[in-house]
Amino acid sequence: MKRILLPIIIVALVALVGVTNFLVLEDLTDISTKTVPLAVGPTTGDDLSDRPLVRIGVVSRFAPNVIYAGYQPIMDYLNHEGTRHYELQLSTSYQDAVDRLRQGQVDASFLGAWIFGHLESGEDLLPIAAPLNEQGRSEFHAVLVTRAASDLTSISQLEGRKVALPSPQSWSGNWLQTNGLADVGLSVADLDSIHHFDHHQTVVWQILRGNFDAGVVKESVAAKFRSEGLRTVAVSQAIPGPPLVGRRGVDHVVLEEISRLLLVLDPDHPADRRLLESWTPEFSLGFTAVDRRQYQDAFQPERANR
Amino acid sequence: MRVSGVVPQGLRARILLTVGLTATVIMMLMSWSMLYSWRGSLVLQEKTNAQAVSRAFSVAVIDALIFADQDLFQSEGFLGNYVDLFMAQNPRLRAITILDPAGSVVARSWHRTDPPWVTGSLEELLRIDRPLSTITRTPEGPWVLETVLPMRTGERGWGVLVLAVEADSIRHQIRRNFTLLASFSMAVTSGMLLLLWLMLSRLLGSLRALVLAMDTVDFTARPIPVLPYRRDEIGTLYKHFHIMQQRVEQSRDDLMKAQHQVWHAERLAAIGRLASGLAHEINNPLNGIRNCIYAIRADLDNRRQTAEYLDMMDEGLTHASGVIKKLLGFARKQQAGMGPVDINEPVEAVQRLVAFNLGRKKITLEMNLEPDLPLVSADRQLIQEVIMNLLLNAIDAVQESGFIRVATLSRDGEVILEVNDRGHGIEAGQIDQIFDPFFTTKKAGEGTGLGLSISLGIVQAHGGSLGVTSEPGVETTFTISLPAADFEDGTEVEEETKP
Repeated sequence: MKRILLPIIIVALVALVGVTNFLVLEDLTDISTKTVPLAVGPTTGDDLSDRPLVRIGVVSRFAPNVIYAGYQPIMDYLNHEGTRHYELQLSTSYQDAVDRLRQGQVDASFLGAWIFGHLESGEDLLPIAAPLNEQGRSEFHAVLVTRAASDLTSISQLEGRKVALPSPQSWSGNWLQTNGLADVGLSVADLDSIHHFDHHQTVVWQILRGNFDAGVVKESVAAKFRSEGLRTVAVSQAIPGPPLVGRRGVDHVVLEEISRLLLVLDPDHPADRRLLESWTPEFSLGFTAVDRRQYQDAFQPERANR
Repeated sequence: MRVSGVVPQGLRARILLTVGLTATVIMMLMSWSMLYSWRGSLVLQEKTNAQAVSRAFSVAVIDALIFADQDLFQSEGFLGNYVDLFMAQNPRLRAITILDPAGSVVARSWHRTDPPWVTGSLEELLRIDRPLSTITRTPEGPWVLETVLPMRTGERGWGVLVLAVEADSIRHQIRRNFTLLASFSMAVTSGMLLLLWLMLSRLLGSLRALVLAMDTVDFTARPIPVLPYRRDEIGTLYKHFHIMQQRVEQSRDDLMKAQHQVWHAERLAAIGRLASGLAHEINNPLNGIRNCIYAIRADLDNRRQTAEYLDMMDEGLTHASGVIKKLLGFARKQQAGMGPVDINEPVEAVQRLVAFNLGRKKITLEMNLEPDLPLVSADRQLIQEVIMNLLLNAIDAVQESGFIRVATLSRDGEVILEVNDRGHGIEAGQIDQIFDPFFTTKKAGEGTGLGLSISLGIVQAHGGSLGVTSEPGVETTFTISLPAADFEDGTEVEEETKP
């Protein structure tokens, strides 16, 4: 009996190991995840359909998804704090944004400073607000950028180079031809070529990929891609910030609500600061009221030259 | 059932069982904990990957939905093409479904017919505000990892993207790793047990060698055999066993010396007991010699008488000298030696020594010695000492004019010597103690109490036995049995051990 006891125990142990391993394997291969309590999504949208719809247009300076990422938080804020249902409306070009506004397809629109300043008759449009910069002024610059490894250090070296620009209806798309080159005694003819792209970020990618020697974009876009190897070569003079413009035919209560809600935001107030910091950097310092004359004055020389 | 009846009693089996069981349990627990932890990581990684893929795909989908929202083009065909291309580029994808915020299907892979959804109902899917991945087994059999990604820009919802990825490969990977780890654990455990078995075999082999050495140790061997040298604990055990052997040998030598001293002391004590009889035996011839000297002095010229008395004096001196010679022969501390002994010879020698003591008490000694007894292998001196002790005890036990009978005989290969006295006998309560050292019924100074104890030791050392029967007030009989020896081939003496 004693002689077979040890083998019996060993066999029993092996059997025990086998059975437990089998059970463990069954449990191990059951990878089904437990039911997770489902989150409740935002309920704001439930009430918006009952409110009067206000469409807000945006010039096509960015790709549609980038525009939504940058401007939808402002719509969300207006929907939360306002009494209407604010909705973004894209445009296919800068001019299209102006046309939609004038034609009543949108009630207000984020326009470019250049195109607003160059409107022949802008009496029907009313600037509501424009974003502030770090100096607390509503100004921005266009900047000439190139790759970090490029030998380009000034505008005067652009001779014979390929330059990428954004929309010809934007300040960034015009500064070089109207001011930048002339200041150093060059003209467009001295360049190898100029090519306009729809969006600022497309200009950046073209430069980073080496397709162009330099380009002009908004300074906020240049700052965003600085860590990706983009270097600023020159900076334009300051021009008024891109305005949010309303149409005079729109109910003034609507425009007043938009103006009030945007201008009340105070970057020094903690709650407002938290909200603004969640927005795109271009709008993270709040807004200020602007006047049409600021834009007319800023682009008067150009207008006179045209 | 008792535990001791289940657990093997062998040291090797018990160690192997204990270590094997412990190692198996530890390896199993380690393997399982590693596998469970690894499974968690794998599932989490798969979910993360699925959500990353979903997010990547959602960028294009949101763009398309935005364009559709802006009435720039119809999204259905555009997105359907997206879905098909994406499915073709990702073989693990099983299904893609794009829902608008109202829950209507905008686009989906052609071979998917949902609902039911794995994650929850359509209403629940539309309310999810963060990516959610669920793994489950579909009713059709295969396992799927379904990821639900709410597509939002700020608070603007574009709908829900649902991606189903096959999850059977996860299970296969888990099973493969389990097999690998289980095999590794078994191999490690088996290897460890094999190594342990080999070590135990070597260790127990050494112990068995030690046990064998202990069983076969020869204390008479010179020098004492030394076990093989080892550096480990077994070697220490060997070394200390050798030291113990030496100490036992030393103790044995000391004991033998002490024993011989005791024997010699007891012999001297027996001589003391003989002294009174011997003194009388010597005194008689001395008195005769003195009388002869008086007679010679009284008639110095009588040469015939002088010659006659001188002969008588010589005879007396010869007798006294013989007595002293016998006494010295008994008292001399001789070197012990084994040899063939006819037991009748020491009996007769002792008879001659105690004849004076017998005569003083007028004791009748009947000698019934069987002639031609087989020889025994014995130390004659020691056997003679035993017989002397028994006869003196018998003389002390009987009254004046008492009776003692000494008989020898051969029976069943043994030589038997009986000493019977018709004395006062031994009390029943004392008969079990008479062989104890220092037990005596005599008065102080008349006995050492060692005589019978030493006699028993001597007889037993010769391979024999010493017994006693007694009837108080009637008689006492001591019986010595010694094995008869065969000295025909001359080997018996060499093979006998010294007592």
